[in-house]
Amino acid sequence: MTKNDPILCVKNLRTELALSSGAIEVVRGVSFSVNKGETLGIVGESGSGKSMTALSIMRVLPRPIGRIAGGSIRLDGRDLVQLTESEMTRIRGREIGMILQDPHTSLNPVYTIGNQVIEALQINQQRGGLLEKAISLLKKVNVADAARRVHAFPHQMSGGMKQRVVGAISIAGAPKVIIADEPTTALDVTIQLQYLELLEQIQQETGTAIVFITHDLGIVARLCHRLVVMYAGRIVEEGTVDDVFNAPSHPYTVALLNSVPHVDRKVDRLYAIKGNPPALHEIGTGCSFAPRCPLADTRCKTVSPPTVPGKNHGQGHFAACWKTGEMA
Amino acid sequence: MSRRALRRLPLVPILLLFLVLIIPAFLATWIAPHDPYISNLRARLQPPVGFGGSWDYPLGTDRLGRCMLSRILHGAKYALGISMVGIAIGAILGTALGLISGYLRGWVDVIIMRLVDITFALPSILLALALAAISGPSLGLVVLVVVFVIWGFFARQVRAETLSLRERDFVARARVAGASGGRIVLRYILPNIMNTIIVLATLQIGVVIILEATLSFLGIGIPRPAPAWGLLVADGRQLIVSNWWISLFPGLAILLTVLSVNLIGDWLRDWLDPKLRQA
Repeated sequence: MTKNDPILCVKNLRTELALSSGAIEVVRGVSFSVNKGETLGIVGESGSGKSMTALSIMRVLPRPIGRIAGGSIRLDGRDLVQLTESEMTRIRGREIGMILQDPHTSLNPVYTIGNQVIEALQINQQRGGLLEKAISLLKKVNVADAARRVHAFPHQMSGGMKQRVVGAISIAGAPKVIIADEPTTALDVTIQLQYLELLEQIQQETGTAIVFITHDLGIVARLCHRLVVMYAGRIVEEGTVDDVFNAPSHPYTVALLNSVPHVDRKVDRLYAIKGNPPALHEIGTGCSFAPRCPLADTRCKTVSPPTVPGKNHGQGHFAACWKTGEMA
Repeated sequence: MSRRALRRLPLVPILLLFLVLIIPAFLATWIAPHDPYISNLRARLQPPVGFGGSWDYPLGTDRLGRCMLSRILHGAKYALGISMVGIAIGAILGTALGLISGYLRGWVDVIIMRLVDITFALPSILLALALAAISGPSLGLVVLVVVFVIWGFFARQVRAETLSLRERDFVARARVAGASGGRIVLRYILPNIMNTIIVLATLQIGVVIILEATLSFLGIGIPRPAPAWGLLVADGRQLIVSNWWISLFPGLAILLTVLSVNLIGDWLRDWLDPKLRQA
């Protein structure tokens, strides 16, 4: 197999949450794929459906209100949507790992970290010399003094160290894909960079694919090969990092990039997108960004936009917009 | 245990508990001055020391001339045994059902919680009376009633904590790391509610001892001639005006045991609660 084989392929994924006010679609037909050894960024603001997409892939949507309403999630050819819960339990950790946002609450407070890394190894059917294996895993994620730290409890460690331990747990099963849901948001800026370097290092060593969910465009530029931009449960733009950053082809992406502060540009007021993301139960037929979009016309507000090639016609660069052609 | 917590240790209740319940329960055979079952008809209704009695029978004797002190010391076995066995079974049953209820939710949850409501609504004394009418009073019956009365407290509390724990990040992390439902319940939820279970069990000891005494007093608990405390109190009921000591001393044993157990339970709850421990 070459590097360009898609390992994870999400097609037309639809996810619903059944609220007391009725079911709302939080993921509305999302399709993307990740190749082996590739890092895909999923960018979007809060409520854009990026975390729900991740939870759908792991099949750990909030019970009992969340459910996958349609589409397919193919991991190495197998459709995860069709699997039973017990089959899915065997997939989690072994084939797809996940790193959650807050390291401070991601570890069980009553066990030592060694105990928890060993548990992850046991889940993945490893036997014998588990303590040594746990220590070497902790060394792999750059936990200093691993042989001693293995006996420490989570509350005795810093956030950055805990997130490394969570990383060690998620690579214990040598998964083909790791989904990282804002893993650096709760960390100090200096630790963030170290952690991103660690993820890159793990990827180089194991060839695992990474799906990196974030709202930090700086991290995307630093870490990812390709990215998808999500808005209101849909993908509005997809492409390589170079294409999307140099030739953003959806007004929302343009606005996002304009909202990033630059050290070398002096501005009085930082750019902000007017208005709020739409509440998901009041989305109409047209483009969901239309109410906030400076280019929107009547067609945008009534007819769902087509998927068109990006402005510079880069390979695999697409935007869901009526106005891409008109953008300067 | 920090030095500070040690200083706050409820020493008097612990001492009392050992004196009244734990030491007698294990050592009654050796420390009791008389056999609790052998009557001495020449020494019937002897008053205790200080009220005209002698050191032969420090707490006096009952209608059949049996040594009250020996009977109370031997009675501790029943109080301790029944509360330990009853609470152990009730706690295990209640915890298991509470974990299932809180983790699985849905219709399983509804059924288990309605069962709890039913056991709380059903008067336990009435149930004991009915059961005793069918099978006759026995030790097993008392344990059964105890389990029936207390399992619901455990189930409800454990379910509530499970509901909150199952939404915690480390449980979510365990799920995405491939942990099965059973593993999550046993390794991630149960150890984190152990504190609650221990405190609850301690606080139930008082309830159970009172319940056992009540059942015995009513004659549907431990069968005679066993010297259970409730039975001893019942024995002295008709003579309470003239021979008050027959009821008073077993009653005092019940009172001191329940009081000290509750004080220890309160301290344990404070000590195990990390929020209060910081203060």
